[in-house]
Amino acid sequence: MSGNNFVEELIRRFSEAVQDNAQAVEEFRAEIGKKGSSPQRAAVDLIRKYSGDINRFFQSVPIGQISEGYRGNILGTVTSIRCSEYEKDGIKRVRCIGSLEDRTGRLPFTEFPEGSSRLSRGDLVLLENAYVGSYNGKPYLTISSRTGINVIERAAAVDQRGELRLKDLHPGMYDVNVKGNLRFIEKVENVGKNKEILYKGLLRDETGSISVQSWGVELKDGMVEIEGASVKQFNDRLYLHIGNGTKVRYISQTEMGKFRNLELLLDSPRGEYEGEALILKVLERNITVDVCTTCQRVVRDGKCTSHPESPVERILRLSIILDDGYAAPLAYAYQRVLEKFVDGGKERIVEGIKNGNEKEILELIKEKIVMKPALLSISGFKGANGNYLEIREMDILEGKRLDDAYENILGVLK
Amino acid sequence: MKTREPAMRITSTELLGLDQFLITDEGNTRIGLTELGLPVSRFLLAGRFSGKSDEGERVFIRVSDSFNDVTMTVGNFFSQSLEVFDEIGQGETVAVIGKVSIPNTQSQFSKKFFAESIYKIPEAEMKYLEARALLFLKERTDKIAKAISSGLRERGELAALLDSDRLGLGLSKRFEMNGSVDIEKYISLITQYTESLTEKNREVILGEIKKFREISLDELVGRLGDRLGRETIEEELRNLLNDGEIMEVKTGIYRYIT
Repeated sequence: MSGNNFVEELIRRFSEAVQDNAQAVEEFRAEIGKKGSSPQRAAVDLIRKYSGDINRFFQSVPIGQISEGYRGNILGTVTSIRCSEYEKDGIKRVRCIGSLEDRTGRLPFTEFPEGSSRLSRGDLVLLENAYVGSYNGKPYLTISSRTGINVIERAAAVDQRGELRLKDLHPGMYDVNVKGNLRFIEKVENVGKNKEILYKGLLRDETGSISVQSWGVELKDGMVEIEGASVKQFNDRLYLHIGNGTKVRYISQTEMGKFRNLELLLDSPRGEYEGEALILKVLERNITVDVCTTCQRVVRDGKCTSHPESPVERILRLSIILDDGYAAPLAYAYQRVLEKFVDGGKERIVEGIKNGNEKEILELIKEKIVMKPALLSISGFKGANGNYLEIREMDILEGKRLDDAYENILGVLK
Repeated sequence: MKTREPAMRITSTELLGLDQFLITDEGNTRIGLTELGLPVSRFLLAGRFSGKSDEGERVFIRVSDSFNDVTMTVGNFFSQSLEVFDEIGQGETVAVIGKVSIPNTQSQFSKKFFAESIYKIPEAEMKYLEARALLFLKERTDKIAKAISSGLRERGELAALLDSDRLGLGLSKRFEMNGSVDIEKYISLITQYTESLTEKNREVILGEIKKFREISLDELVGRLGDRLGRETIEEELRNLLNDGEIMEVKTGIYRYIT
């Protein structure tokens, strides 16, 4: 197709999309005539302005109408994406799982990019020559090398406050501002010739996670804004370096997406809930997980993808069904939170797991928490596979604490 | 993925007054709707175990909170062994997770309550859970009053007001069905509850004072503080003094006036 024919074809499709609105077509002609302009980008803006049919322009089908066997263009916004590395035939590969959405529906996908994915959360993308298969009886898209990926509108990698998402970090970046949920892992004293204190942690946002190494600046659990960090690489793995010039600000409760109940937390992309809920049930399956001793991330196949050289330790992780009267989700409670419910604490749990007596430990904990009202601190986010909730703190309401809580309620009722 | 329905903290009065249903967006499940527009599929009721009865193959239990008796069927939804009832005596304090069933074969509205699980709990926990149900009721009546006065009727507006899409849906349906919602009965219920507690506290404190010729505030707090709290004791002492039931013989020392 010659240049002129191509432009005419674009104008014809645009005209159809805006139902032959002459003014819109005129504006489109003017926009694409400008030097360096992107016709697709201009079309998106004007179709939105004139309430046109964006699928018509991109010759795609609304996601809600896509069924198994569909082959063609798909236009949608990447609403979630999470990438992980795996090894096949001795070669490290990347697999990204996410979902595309438009007003009519949602389509989950898996992408196998060479290197890192071109997709980011919030991107409006046009997938060309896509083929939709099925998974569990529902349409499922696998983005292969034959699928053309055209990012029509890039979600700002850097938002208005100048923050990057973790997925956008690259080695060598400096003066980086990021925000996320920080989990403190360990403190190592007398490191290096200056005998400094090294704090290690893990920072997460909805696009991924990164190890954090902080020299002298104390790390604690919580939502943080980190300003002026640098991104370094060791053994092919990235980590965020925090030094004297870096500011770590713990975000106050009102700023960090605190929700009044679990239903609101589940509806949000990420946030926290602090309040009361009943511990309804502790599931008896998968009560231990293997974690990397360096980054504390759950590992599969006995090896951490980020720290393959690090030993792996087995810890307790219980799946608990909570109920605050607004929602009854499943949340994970890791060993650190559970130690206080076992006489003998960590040592007894470690010993129990070592001797294969996890069930005995589980029963001890269940006895103390099931059907008890508890004060909980929960953080969560919405991932590609649904909501992930983690219990950060758990205190059972009993004794004086229960009496005080009761008196407080009576005070409000009166 | 189908999500588990939360257990609504509810009093027996609101539960027994459930008189409508709504069909959820997700499917054909009928969810009970109370007079205050609370959608109830699962509920948490704290109270005293008043007994178990067998009628043929069917087993029923009765649990009473501060207001009424609720009878529940122990059937398919029950997740525990029936032996759990061997450990629960009449009058003991329990928490029950129950399910509301609205049969869809009936031409007239009918409802059934099924027990899903039952746990023996300490008295303090029962009182706390019951108070939570009353608190949830108070929060809703306050917000419904606001919705009525400001003319909010849309599901989205009500969801924002009630901090819950589910509650917003329920209340909007109730407004649709009845035009408005009568909250007076439930406001009286809260008043009745707090007054009965005050009455009980007053009797307990007076009973303790009567046992002695004179008793100090600190001694009263030592004896009753765990149950009532210092603030409640001080408040009730002031009321008893005002009503002329007791006298303060010295600062902080009280005597019953015979």
